[in-house]
Parts: sequence; C-alpha cells; structure tokens
Amino acid sequence: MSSLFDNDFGLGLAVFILIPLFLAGIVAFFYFLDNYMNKYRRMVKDLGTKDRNLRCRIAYFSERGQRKRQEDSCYISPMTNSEEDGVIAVVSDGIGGLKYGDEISKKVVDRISSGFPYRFEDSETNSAILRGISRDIYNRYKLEGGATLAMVHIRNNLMHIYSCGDSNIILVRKGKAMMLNPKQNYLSILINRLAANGEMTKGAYLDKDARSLVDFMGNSYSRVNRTCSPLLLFDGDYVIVASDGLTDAMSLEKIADYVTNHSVITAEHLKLSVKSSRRPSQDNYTAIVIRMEYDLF
Amino acid sequence: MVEYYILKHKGGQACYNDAVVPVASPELSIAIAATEKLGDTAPVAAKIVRDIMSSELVAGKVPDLASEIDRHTPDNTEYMVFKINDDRIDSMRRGGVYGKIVKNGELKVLPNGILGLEDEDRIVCGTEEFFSFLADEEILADSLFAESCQEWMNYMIKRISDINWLSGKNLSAVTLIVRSSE
Repeated sequence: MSSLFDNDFGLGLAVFILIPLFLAGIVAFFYFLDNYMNKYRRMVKDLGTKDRNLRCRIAYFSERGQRKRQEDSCYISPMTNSEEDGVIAVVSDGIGGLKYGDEISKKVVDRISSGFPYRFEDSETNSAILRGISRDIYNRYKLEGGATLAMVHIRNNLMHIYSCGDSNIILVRKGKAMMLNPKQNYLSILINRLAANGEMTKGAYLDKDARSLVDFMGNSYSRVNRTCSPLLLFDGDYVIVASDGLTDAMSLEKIADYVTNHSVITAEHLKLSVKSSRRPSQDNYTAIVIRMEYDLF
Repeated sequence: MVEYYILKHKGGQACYNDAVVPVASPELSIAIAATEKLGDTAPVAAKIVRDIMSSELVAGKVPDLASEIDRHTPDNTEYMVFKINDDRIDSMRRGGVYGKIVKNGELKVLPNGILGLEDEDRIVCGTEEFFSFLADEEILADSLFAESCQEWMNYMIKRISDINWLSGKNLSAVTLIVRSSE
C-alpha cells in the first residue's frame, strides 16, 4: 500500500510539478534566446541612426594610365584610433601640363598626413588648415603648379567632406552613384551665368575652356569647400574618393554597376575596367574605395 | 533673419508661366505655383496667385491665403504657400509643389502646417519638375557645402544642367537659410 502511494506520489510529482517546470524552462530558454537575438535583429534592421557605429573597409588603387608621370597622390590615415579620430582619405591630382604637378600633389597629402588627427566636429578649422597648406604651396611655387584636393573625414557613421578643384567624392547608395562635391571649374561659372540669364546651358559644355580649374591647392587664395554639418552614412554605402582619371573613363552609372559587397573586389573591378578601356589619352587614375559596414559587435 | 534665393527659369519653353512670389512684409511670405498642367489658363492662374500675394490678404494666416488661391485658380493649379521667420515656418501645399528641409545634417520632407526652426536650418521648396532631377543625397550634400542660398541653388542648377542643359519645362524653386544668430 505504502509503495503504491510512493509510486503514485512520484508519478503525481512528475506530472504536476516536474513536467510543467521542464516546459516552463524550455519556454523561458526560448524567450531569452529570442530576446537576445532580437537585440541584434533590431541593430541590423535599424540602420543609419546616429547611435549606430559603422566601420570602414578600405581599398585603393593608383595607376599611371598613359601618362609619363604619376601626378596623383593619395593618403589613408591610420585606423588604430578611428573611433576617436575618425579616418581620413585624401586624393590629390597634380594639374597636368604644369611643372610641379606631381611634387605639389605629394606635398598636399604629406602635409595633411603630418597634421593628422584632425578634430572631426570642427570642419571650419580643418578647412582653414587646408587653405593654409594651399597658401604655403602658392608661396613656394608661385602658380607654377597646383593640385586638386578631395578628402573625406569619416567617424563612425558621419562624414565630413573637403574639396578643392575638380576631383571627385562619389557616394554609391542603393545602386545609385552620386557626385557629392561641387566642382570648381569654368563650366560651373558658365552654367550659373547662362542660368541667371534664363538661357539653356548646352553651349557651356561645348566651351573649350569648360574644364579649366578656377580654384586649386596652390592658388593664391583658394577656397576649400567643406560640409558645415556631417553627412549620415548607412550600412552598405560606398564612398569613392577619386581623381578625374576614373570619372573621365567611366560614367557614374557604370561605377555603380561595379560595386560589390567587398571594397577590395570593387576597387579591382574599377581599376580593371579603366585599364581594359585602353583609352589612348588615359590620365592617371587613383581611387580610394570605402565600404561602410555595420559594426555588429 | 531668413536669407532666400529664387529660381525662375523657363527651361526650353517659350515663356515662363509658373509663379514664385515673395512678399517680405510683415514677415516673409512666398507662394510658388506650378502651372504646367493648366494649358492655356496657365498665365491667368499665375497672375491670380501674384494678385493674391500683392493684396492685403498676405498679412492673414496661411490657410486663409491657401483657400483664397483655391477659390480663384483652376482646380488643377499646384501651389505651395508659406510664411517663415527665424522661429518657424507655416506652410500649405497642393499637388506637386513641395519643400524639403535640412535639419541637423539630415534631409526631410517639409510637412504641411507649422514647424519650428533653428539657426542654420535650410529649406528648399520647388515644383515637381525641379525636384525630379535631384536625389535627396545630392540636395543634402549641396546644402551642406553652400555658404549662401544662391550658392546652394547654383549647385542644384548645375546638376539639372548636367542632365538636360536646362532645356525641359519651367523650373521654379526657392532656397532659404535661417540665420537667427545674426
């Protein structure tokens, strides 16, 4: 009788306490697992908010094209303290046909690299520093040469842009490539003039001087364009800092077509595409390809 | 203070039929009317908008101005009318005329009604034709590079010109920057 009671008691204990406890344990386990995974699911879905960190995957190439000299120079800052200092990517294109194009473009990136790190928030001061570099170049070379400047300063998911001349800063987002920085060339002046008179602007593009630079590093008082507030970057964005040798060889639409999920492969595609086009007058072409990736952990 | 710059370009058309009417007193009020869909009645509709903006009605509230425009212009007139000062913008719109605002480095669509403004907020209002050539990222980048309203507009005009040499339909837009610290 007593053993029957023991058996029934054991069975009852199992049915009414242990099994519900076991099931509750399973439910709790999955509940916590789901919560844990949700945290990451939200992070992946909720891209581009200001509290999200992105990291840069960077690749670059710099080729001579059909020119005798390499007049492009580039610089990518160290990434050891990128959360604090950000990352700087610079391309400078020496003005062709002038004596010291290569020397000046190298000087521009050297001076910028020696001044790193820069205060991310203070784009006005950074722009003044860049103007100072330009002024020093003017004092040294007295307009016997010059170079363009295209520079991005990326920290987490924010980007400041600095630009002087006609080099390119391109954003590729959702399959569309967009030029971000304004060009300081004569074409822009002609277009503004025609538009202000209410005229069409086709003639401006036919002008033989349309592509002439009106400002550059090494000009007497050059204006370095800069963003007054940073741009927000998103996971999967590409930022391409390039000399005009790249954009002369391929359209923005084509650049967007070459973008993949990896910066190195994208850079390789772009380089090979320019190389295989075999343009007889291919200018030096340099590009720093930056893919913004979500920093999951 | 609110700085502004107006674009009125006939594009490749024979004449400019849209209307962009600024009135600076008592506070800055601007009306933009797109008359593209009106055909022969376009010049009349544009004149009505100009007349309303030059009447004493402009001192009234934005909804009253908008209903006045609604009452007197053809049904398919597209327009936006707004009043702006250092602290706020009050806007009403109908059809394909709208605005975008750059606030703290982000671009958003300007909502109907009242919106608070801060120093350095940047606004662009224009017709659908004007915006059709510009990606949001391009508008944003141009606004952040520009040191003045005219410069911002010039950057955007350059982009449109790169696509169609300004040979399309009428282009109408206005750029505004709040300079409350001055």
